[in-house]
Amino acid sequence: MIYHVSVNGCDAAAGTVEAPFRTINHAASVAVAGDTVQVHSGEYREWVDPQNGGFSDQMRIVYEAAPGEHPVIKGSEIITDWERVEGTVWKKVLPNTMFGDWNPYVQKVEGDWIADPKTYDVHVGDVYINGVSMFEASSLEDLYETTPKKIITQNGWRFRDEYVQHPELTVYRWLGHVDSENTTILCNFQDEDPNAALIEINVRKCCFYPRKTGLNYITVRGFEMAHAACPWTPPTSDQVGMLGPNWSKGWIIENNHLHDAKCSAVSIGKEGSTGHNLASRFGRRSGHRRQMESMFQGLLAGWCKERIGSHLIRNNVIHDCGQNGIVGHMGSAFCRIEHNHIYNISIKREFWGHEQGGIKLHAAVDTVIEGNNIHNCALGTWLDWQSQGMRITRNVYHHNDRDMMIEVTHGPCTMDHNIFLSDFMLDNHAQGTAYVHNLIAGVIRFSASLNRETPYHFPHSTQVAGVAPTYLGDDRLMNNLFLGVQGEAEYWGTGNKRGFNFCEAYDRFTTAEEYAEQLLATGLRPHIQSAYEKVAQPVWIAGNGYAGHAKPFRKEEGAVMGAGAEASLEQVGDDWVLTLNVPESISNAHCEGVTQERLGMPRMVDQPYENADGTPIDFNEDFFGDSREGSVIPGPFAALTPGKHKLVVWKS
Amino acid sequence: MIYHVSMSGSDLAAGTLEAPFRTINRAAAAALPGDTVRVHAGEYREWVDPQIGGLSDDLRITFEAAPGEHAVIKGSEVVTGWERVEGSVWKTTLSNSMFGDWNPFAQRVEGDWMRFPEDYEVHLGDVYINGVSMFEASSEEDLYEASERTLYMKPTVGYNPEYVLHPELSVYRWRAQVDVETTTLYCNFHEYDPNENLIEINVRKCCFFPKATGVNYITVRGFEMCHAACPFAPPTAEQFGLLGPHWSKGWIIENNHIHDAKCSGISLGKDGLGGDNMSTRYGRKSGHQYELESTFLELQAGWSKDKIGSHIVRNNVIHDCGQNGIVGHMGGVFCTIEHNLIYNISQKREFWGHELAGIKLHASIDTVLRSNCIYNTTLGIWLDWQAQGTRVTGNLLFDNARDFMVEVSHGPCTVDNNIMLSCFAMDNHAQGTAFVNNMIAGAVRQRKQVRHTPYHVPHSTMVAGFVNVYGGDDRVYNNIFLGVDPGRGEPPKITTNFCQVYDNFTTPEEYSSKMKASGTMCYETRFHAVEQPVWIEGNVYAGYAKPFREEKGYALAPEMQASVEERNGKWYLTLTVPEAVFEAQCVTVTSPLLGMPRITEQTFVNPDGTAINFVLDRNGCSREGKILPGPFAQLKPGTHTYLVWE
Repeated sequence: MIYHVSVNGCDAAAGTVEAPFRTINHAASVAVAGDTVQVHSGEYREWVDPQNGGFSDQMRIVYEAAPGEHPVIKGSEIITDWERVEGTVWKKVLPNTMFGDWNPYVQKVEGDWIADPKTYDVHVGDVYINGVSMFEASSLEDLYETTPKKIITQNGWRFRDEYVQHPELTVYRWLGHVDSENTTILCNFQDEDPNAALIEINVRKCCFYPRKTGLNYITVRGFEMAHAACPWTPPTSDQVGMLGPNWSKGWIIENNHLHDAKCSAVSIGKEGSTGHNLASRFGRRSGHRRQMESMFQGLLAGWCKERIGSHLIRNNVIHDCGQNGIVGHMGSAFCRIEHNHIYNISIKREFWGHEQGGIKLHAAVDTVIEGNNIHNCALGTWLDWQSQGMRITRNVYHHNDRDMMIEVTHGPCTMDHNIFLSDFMLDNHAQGTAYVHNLIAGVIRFSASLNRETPYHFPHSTQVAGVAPTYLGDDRLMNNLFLGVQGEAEYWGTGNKRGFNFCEAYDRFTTAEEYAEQLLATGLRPHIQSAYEKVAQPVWIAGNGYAGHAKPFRKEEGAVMGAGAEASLEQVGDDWVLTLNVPESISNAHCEGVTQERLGMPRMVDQPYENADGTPIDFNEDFFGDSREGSVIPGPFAALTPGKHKLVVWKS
Repeated sequence: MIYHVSMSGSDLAAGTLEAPFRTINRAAAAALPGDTVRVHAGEYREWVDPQIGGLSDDLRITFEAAPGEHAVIKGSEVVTGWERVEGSVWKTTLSNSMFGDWNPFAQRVEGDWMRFPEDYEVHLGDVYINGVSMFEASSEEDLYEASERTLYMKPTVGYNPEYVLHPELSVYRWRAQVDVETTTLYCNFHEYDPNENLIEINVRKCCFFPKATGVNYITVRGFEMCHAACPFAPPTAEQFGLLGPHWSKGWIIENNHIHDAKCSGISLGKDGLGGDNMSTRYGRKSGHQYELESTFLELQAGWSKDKIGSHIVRNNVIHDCGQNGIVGHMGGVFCTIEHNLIYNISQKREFWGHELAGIKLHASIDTVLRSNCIYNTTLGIWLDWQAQGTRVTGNLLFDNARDFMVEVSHGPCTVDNNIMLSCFAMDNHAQGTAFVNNMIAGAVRQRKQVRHTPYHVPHSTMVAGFVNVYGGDDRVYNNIFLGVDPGRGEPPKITTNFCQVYDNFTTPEEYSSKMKASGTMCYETRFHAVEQPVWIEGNVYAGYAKPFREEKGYALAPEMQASVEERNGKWYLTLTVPEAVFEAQCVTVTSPLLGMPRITEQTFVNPDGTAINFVLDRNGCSREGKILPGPFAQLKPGTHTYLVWE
């Protein structure tokens, strides 16, 4: 059955193409497994709350834009009839009933792991002039202030100072005031007349998100969605996004254009019964402790491959969100996140907490992130806790404050054939990761977590096998090409925590032989825990190419010095073109091919570096999927002749 | 059906009283749920391996000594035909076929957390002259050496040096040489002629232990069992004992006399599916890591109240074992261990590892240890990991190197109405313990632990989280602390006493105000920066003991003293009670008053969730009127003698 929805329709109609429904929610209340809801052009200002799920991958409920049409679901409402307060400041008084039980001008951006601002509140509301998001004023004085702000909050993880992307927009400010009856919005519209422009404000929490959990196998295809007043989504909360499956299985989210979510555009995270900001609300135990507990609660609530995760998120364009493009704790397991274009994430800097990134996943067991283009984010991708069995491949990262962070996880996690072009490539707070055939421009930073233990799992399962601290090391780095664009003077931080260039950053770790010798030399028997804290874990580093400031690992075999290797990226129409200068030494290199056998198993987790279905990863396929024939050279590409190459590495 | 077994029987017989079986194993093969196997007087030199279990608490299979008769199961065989080598050293050569696939003279005492000796091997074999265990020589020279061993294995975590209990016996030494076909034993019998005396040697691993797991609801009653070559039983191994249920449910082990197990007398512990000495064998990860993995492996293999634990171990006498009187990881959940007499554990000091104690339990969820008498051990009771819902009540401990240890556990664990008289009372490496109405003589050592261990959904084996030990979160009410000299004449390492040992921790008010000042709510570092609170009130202090800095209602009674002595199988406490004791303002302790530990959020209650009745004293007498400190409802001023164990 195909139901039709049109802005000219009527919910009392039959839902046919001739007599369409008016609201998507009405279609959602009648659609059952096997049905399709086709939505025609127009703006739908509703929170779509599906009532039913599909039965299987083949018996889905599909929500899609009618072919060639452009339906938009907005969490905002248009506000007219502004009255001038003074100068460029205008106001509008709205009844609270407009917002139901979720008033975005009362609801703060708050919860576990949020850190800044500390001196004033920020809210999940927002005001848009002609579709462009304004900034919340910190006070009444601040509303009248007209100096652009370059810095509002600073990322606690920053590599260097992080700036607002468009400071010229920071002078457009709003301030909400809520009493028992009304919500008053005050706005400094500068030279814009609000009664002549389109002014929209955040009203609804979500655009497309079931209130119930366990609605499986839904497809959401071809929509534009924007302006959701969705809350802060740390891993210890009910992670509500503008769009998402709410603790279900088997959704397909594709070809959507998602933007201006206050926090997270797509959430594939956990639900609320397994813990909701308990650390901030009760304070009895830390967020870390609560997260560990939430995972065990999740297991008791049925976190397993049969019930949760296995979503496919592909070909979406996601931009201008306050916290994440895609977020998810636990519900993100067994997923594919493929060929999305994600940019401008948390670069308004209106608030800062941990948990901000283009893609931020916790416990995304066996999930694949492939072929995405991620740029202009505070952090490109953040893999936190239990990134076990994950593969990050053929993605393009550039112009991010940091490209990648991997934290308190024990492997195996495979990052291969990616292009990382930002100055800061990697925050490595993990162990057991394999980096193979990547092109890497920036620096790396380490931080151990001996007092924050995290789980690991039986292979390809959510069942817990143990918990362990992060000692660091146990990484594999083979056949990468490091461009070393950052010099010593530009490093941020001090001591062992500062940024280092690959692969000399790994000099503090051991080779497999050194590890065995040093463990013996502790004189401690193998069962004694402290032995493993005294000896740095081994690393396996071979066959990498080095240019710029990058230097090999002190014991590296087959390192290739590739002075002159350089790369840059530009957008040409729908194409993203990599200009790569290949020196002769790289072009003529003969690296040993990488196989699953060479990578072995991480010490803590007895699982090889393999695909989610247990088959070996084929490292012989290069960035474009071409087979490497003849000699293997460092970097993501099969044989390249010396000289300058222009390669289309991403297409819209 | 009642089957009978007799030394004069035949396994071809019907197993009736008139025509009994010869072996207990023959009866074990025949018995069905509801049946009883009755064993008549005599020595049964067999490993009893029950084939099937009972179906429920009512439909058990019972193995018992025939009323009034003395049935002994031995893991040893008698060895004769000794020839003199030189002087008092004799030898005999035995065929290896005698041992089957487990030759105790080839099997070492080894595995995770085994530590000493480091420069020679010790084995599971043993030799007994007229029933008395000899010592393994460390070398051929040592076999001939006639000087006594006193301080032999030096523990690394102990307190005072620990001595061999009977150094005069340490000159009787044996040494084995095992080759492909034979095992040759060399023994220095000194004044004994082995051909004129009873010489027995360890042959079998166990006396009564099913080889299969999941053999439930068996009762073992009234036997003497001894001389088992059972292996070292750390929590990460398959934990064999001389006697045990081998990862089953619902056994009753009562009225037995168990002694001379090479390692552990009774094992309630885990099977091998959860790992067997992986750390020692593979060396990839620490024992701690493999132990926490074993929790999850066994959860997958069915570790739950439905399948495992719920044993009753009572009225047994257990002594002269090398490692433990009673041991158990995970299999010791939901158990009652009551009124056992346990003594002389690891007093030969032939080997030392962690894991030596009178009772050593890991993950003793909802287990009750009540009214046991434990002395002459390296450590009386050691609750390690997940002592959640565990209750230690009415026990009598004395003359132990240490009386009690609770380690990497988060509570609630209730320790009440015990008498602990050794000069080193306690290692407290845990949090969330309640000490109520105890009498404690010795010193205490308090440690935090970075090692993280699980906590559980209340009254369940399901894991709820993991955490390190921050220390504190204890409740200490109405105890008598005697503060005896912790030195025992040796330079003491430990001088910390109750309750000043808690002075670094906070009161609930201090905790609350410090936490408010400690920054961002959800950061883990905040909980390391502020010491956890303790609740301490109404205790009595004598000797070196001093009150907690913020304690209310305490009394100082410097002249208070206690000592214990045995007369005819009864133990008497002689107590000097000064008038000052009655000045303590004791607290009416209830489960709600104790609250709940910060981490586990489970109240201090009985395993079935009902409130603990703290009104009852160690003898079951009701505390009426003014509540007195210590384990007795009534106390008389002056010096009096009280019967405390029989």
